[in-house]
Amino acid sequence: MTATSAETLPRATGERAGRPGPPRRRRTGRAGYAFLVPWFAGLALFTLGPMAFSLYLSFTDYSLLQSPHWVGLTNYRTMFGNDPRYLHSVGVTLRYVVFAVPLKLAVALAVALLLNRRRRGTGLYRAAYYVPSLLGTSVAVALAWRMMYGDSGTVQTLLGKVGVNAPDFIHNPTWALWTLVLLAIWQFGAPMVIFLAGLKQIPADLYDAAAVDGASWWARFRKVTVPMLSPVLFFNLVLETIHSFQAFTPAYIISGGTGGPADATLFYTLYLYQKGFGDFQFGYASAMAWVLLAVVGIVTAILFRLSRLWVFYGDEG
Amino acid sequence: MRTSFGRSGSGALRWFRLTAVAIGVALAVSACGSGSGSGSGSSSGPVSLTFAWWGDASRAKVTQAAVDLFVQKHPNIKVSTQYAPFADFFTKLGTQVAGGNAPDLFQIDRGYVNEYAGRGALYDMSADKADIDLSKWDASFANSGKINGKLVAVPFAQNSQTIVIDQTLAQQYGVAMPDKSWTWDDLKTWAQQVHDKSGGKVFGIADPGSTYPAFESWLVQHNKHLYDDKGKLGYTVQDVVDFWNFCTDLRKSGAATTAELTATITGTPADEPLPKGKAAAEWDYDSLYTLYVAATKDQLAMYPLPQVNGNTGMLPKPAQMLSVYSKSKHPKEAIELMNFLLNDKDAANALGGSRGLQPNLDIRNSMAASATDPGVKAIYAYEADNKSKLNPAAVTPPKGDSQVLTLMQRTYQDVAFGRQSVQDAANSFYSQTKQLTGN
Repeated sequence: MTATSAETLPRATGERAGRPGPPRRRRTGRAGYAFLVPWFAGLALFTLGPMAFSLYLSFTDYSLLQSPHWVGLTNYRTMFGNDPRYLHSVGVTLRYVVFAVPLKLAVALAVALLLNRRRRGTGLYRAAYYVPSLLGTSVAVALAWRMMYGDSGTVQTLLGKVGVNAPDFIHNPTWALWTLVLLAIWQFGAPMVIFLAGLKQIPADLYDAAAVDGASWWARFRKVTVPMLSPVLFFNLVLETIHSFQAFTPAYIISGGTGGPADATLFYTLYLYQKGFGDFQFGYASAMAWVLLAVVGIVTAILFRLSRLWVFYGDEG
Repeated sequence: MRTSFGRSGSGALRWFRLTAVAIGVALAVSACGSGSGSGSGSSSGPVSLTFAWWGDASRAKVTQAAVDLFVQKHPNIKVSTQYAPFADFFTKLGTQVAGGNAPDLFQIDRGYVNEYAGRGALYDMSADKADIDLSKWDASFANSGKINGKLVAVPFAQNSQTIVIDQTLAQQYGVAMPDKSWTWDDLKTWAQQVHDKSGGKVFGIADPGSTYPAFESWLVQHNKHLYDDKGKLGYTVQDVVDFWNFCTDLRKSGAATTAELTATITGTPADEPLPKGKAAAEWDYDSLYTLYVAATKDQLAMYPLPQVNGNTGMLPKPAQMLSVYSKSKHPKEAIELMNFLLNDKDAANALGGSRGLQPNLDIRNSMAASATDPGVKAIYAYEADNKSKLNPAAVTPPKGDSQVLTLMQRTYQDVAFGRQSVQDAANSFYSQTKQLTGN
């Protein structure tokens, strides 16, 4: 926010240099803030207010049906000391993030590279590959997934035809999480579109120069594409990491809200939901939400710190 | 290349934090905003009621028909209805109660009555008893929703437990139907035969090890119970071990379903092993029988639970109960609707057997005699045949019992998938149950 306005402000004044300066600008500023009031009100009412309230609730035993009582750090202590299911849900979520994010990005980049070539019908392909992401967050896809990978589902039937005795992936604790990872990978559309946009911005003369120097496809990819694309890669990495930590719908739908079988798909947010709306432990659920926020914040901060080592902004050289 | 994203690191970070918190906020804000009755407090204008229950589409159809009958007879009252599957229903109800806009009349499960009553969400109908005709009811059954002298819930229907058997499957594999006074050993032999004669394609029975009410019947036939009248646990770890050892034997020999198939038992009959033709029998409440019938083309039959020393462990239960919301603006009209659903003959005919037996004994007898729908007929016949095999009703379970249902599902899955020994899982189940129910 601040960075953007700092960049644009001088230019704006430059254009208006001939006109009467400071007083008018102050008035304009005031009008601007006036126009922003509805947005600020919304922010305060629907975001900051509830956030503050949930922070307060995290120190109480609020049970949805009864008014809250202050319990101090009890909720936080229970989480790490006396709730094996909580720690289990953390493990499940971490496993999901660690596998789903890199695989999804790899597939998104690979498809973006393929679609970046100029060919007839490329536009159609681009749209087609984006479709899963449009459907992605919807309940329907998760339901379809459940049927495809479930007992007597398409996948089991097809594998059976080639002589593989496949399990019911959805109801088997060894496989259930992997069906969710696969679903995440399949929804590569959003990062792919961003990769495509990034690829379009890489100047063609860099490739031409590399080609003249006799660089192979792989060398061009490694020495031109990857560095030039690294800011976009970083953007996608941060976004997908955060999304994956917050994944809820697929696990909820595919496990029927249980996080099963045997808690194999008990995502953090799903457990949070169960605690809040199933067991009415809203204080505990709020505490869980704040720990998640802190963890996502820390992970994002680490990603930003590490980005200095590998992200290349063209103007730094 | 420049992207504003990369340049404004800290701003973006802040933005991400906000997004991350949005989940907590979204959860907090998403309290469903369904209609909170009409604003009109006057009794002369039209009154709007909301009525909510859990169930599936087939139950929704008959319930709507009964409600329509009520509206026809009471042109001054409008009734809007809501329904959801069991687990989602209570998620929504809890949220609505917290938001102060719960339905005027709602179905409630016995396991939740103490929880909601303890928090003042249920209207005390003691003073309105004149408006609820309980004269043709079994007195103790009529009072099963009485808590600390307050009448906070009234049973909607009565049910008991059964083993549903797929006769078509059994015939197909040439396995004779068992005797109706069978024992667990008989069940084991029968189930094993189904499995063996089908070449392992069909299991004898859906593994009952994850089913909490099945465990309750098991306790009752061993002269124990889930809770005593003070809410204390009436069984020990050893009982859990015995129950799960029996189920594990069934599972290991192929008589009962594999862990994967058992995991599909989540309360939606159409998705479960029996209607899918994967198991020839399944433990359930007889009030769900018509839902099974609707989900399969095969011929089904209801069998009493296997006996231990002549005791089936079967209990009469309020299949569902009805409560009026304590903050309802129209408790009188809500009770009128409730009374209609419970005591009107036409309403009973519309409802059929979708919830179990009608609680009004006069209506129950006439329905038993006149029912034409095969599913409804079967339930009434089953209950009549087994009336003498029922044990005395159980006490209202303490607060927290509603969570034990899913706890048993979860813990037994650990056993079935071989992740925990029966003994360890039973220990964990027992100690968590104690914690949940305040024991």
